[in-house]
Amino acid sequence: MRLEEIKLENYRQHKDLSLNFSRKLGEKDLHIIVADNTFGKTNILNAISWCFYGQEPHLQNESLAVSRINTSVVNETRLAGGGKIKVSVQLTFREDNGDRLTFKREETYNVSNTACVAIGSGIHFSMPGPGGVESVEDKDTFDAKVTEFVPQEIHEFIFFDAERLKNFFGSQMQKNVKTGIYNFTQANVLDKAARAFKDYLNDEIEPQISKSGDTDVDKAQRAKKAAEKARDKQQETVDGILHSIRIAEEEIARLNGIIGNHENIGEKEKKRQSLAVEIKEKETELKECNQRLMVLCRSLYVFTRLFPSVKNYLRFIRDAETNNGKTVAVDREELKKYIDNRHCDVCNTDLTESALSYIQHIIDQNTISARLSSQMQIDKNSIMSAFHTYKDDLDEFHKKNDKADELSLKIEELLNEKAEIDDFLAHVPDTETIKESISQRKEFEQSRNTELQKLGIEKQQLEKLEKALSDAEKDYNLVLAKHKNLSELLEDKRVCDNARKALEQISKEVLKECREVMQQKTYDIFCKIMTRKGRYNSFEIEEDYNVKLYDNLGNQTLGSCSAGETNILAYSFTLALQQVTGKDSLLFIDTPLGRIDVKNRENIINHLVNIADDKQVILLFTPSEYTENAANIIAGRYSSYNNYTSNE
Amino acid sequence: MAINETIISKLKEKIKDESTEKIIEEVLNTVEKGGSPKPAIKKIFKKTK
Repeated sequence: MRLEEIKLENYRQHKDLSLNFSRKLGEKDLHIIVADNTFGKTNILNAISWCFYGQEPHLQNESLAVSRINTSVVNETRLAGGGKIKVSVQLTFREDNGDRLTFKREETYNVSNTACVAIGSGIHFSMPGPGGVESVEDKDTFDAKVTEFVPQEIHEFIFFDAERLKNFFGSQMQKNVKTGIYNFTQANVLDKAARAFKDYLNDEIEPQISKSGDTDVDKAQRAKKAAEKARDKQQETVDGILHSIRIAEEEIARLNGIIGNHENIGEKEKKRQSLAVEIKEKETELKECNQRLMVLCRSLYVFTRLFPSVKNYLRFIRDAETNNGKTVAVDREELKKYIDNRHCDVCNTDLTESALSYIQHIIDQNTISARLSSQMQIDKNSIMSAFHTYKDDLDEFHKKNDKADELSLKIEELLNEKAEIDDFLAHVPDTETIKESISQRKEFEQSRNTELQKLGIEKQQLEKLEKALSDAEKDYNLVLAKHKNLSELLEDKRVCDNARKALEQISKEVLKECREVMQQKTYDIFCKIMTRKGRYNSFEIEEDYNVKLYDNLGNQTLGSCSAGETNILAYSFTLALQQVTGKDSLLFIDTPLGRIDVKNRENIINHLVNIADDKQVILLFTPSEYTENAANIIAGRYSSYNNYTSNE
Repeated sequence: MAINETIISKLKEKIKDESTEKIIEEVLNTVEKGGSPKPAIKKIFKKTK
């Protein structure tokens, strides 16, 4: 089907808007609308939904309270003294066989100076019939036609708001898809028919058999009913567990949505704390190290400043020790005795005045040299000791200096690591909520695992009871077969049994096949559009239409992958759903690139443009989305282009 | 809308008996058109006797 025209009259912002989506010969069935946010693009989606179902699901909360009637028309009418205003939305479609279908919904308001009250509403559907155009104006037929044409459960997969794609894989959407698929595959018809055969058997045939009055029949029937009851009860138990598991998984999926990529927030916070402690310790260590370095510096500085003098002095001492400057070892008392006696005992001669004077000189010199020598020895030892200390201090200085460098580097490293974590935590929208969600998820996971364990046991029990029921049914049929008077009823029973079983099996099969096709088609389209090839390994649709996207490591990533990737998956899912359900209809997307990252935008546009070869694609862009790059890709490849921006 | 061809062929595969198959098809068509299936079954059984 194609959407040919949308006509809005006095509907919200649109006093009189007509959008035509005719396909130009030789052009793609692509239609572009670029409009400011104030234009009311999303209200076009609301108008479509209102026309079909009388509902406006895309309204913002603040608009809910506002009447759908155009306010400027209300004001004009008031200025003119009041009157009646009609709000209407008309959608014209063309089927593949060329039939033109029109859906129209209208509402009439009475406008006075003080009030604006809805006083009536109406619907209208027209399509070509054998005797010309057939018109329908009663609600039930209109609703039936809408359901046949665009079932409400999946209308958001045809007319959708890309801004709401973050909720695309939420539980409500899953339910809608499940219901949609259930109806489209006619599994609903199969199940209803199966139930009818079962009811007919229980309500009509079995009571007639009971009336036969045969004891063995009665006994076998009772045994079968008891087995049936036990099986049904067990089935209820299993269904209850499955329900609990589904609820737990829905909650886990919801919490995953909240947690997003802030999974390890608790660990990050612990790490931040431990880093803060480690940084403090290292800083204290560095401070102590620097203090010691200062002491060593002072000491080394003093010694270094004194070093030239000390060095000279030491050299002087060493010279004195090694050359003739060495002090003569003389006995001063002996020399004094020579002076007193004026006689030299060594050479046994009397001493002259000049000799006495010389000996006195030697005694004097000897006295100074001995004190000097002694002092120099002390000094030398002190200096040597100071040298050793200097050397030790210098060694320690180098070591401490290296340590200080090492500590500075380590602190810098730790500070960087902490800064990264700080940055991560600063971007967590609500730390407490995330932590709480993680803790809640753990509880749900535990509860799901417990239920899964229970499920295994209860399923085994169910199998046993099913086997018992099957045996009881066989016995029952054998007993019935012995009674010729019940042959007709037995035949009816056989038909009902076989019909029910076949219908139930077919229902399961068509649903399973549909799911498998959906799964494969979604994944194929997704891989085709995605820029980052090879990151994802498979896409799975579970029995309850809970979807899972696995990466190459086997991790379930839906909920943690980027908004752009989720959008692409949603588009892929939509296209697959349209193909599978046979509603291979148009695609009407409001803000198609709204949440798509720059890398994937080009891919998405190219893909949507290519889709427009076989399918009508209507795209409603905001000016910021419709970039030069987007315009270049689309240029000359569309059938219609409407610009409603203020610049234009 | 008629009953899907896939369903009909699956039905033929599973129900080898033609008369049962016809009964089921009739009930399916009744359900599909929004009719009540139980009276339809009753009617079909009566008709076949």
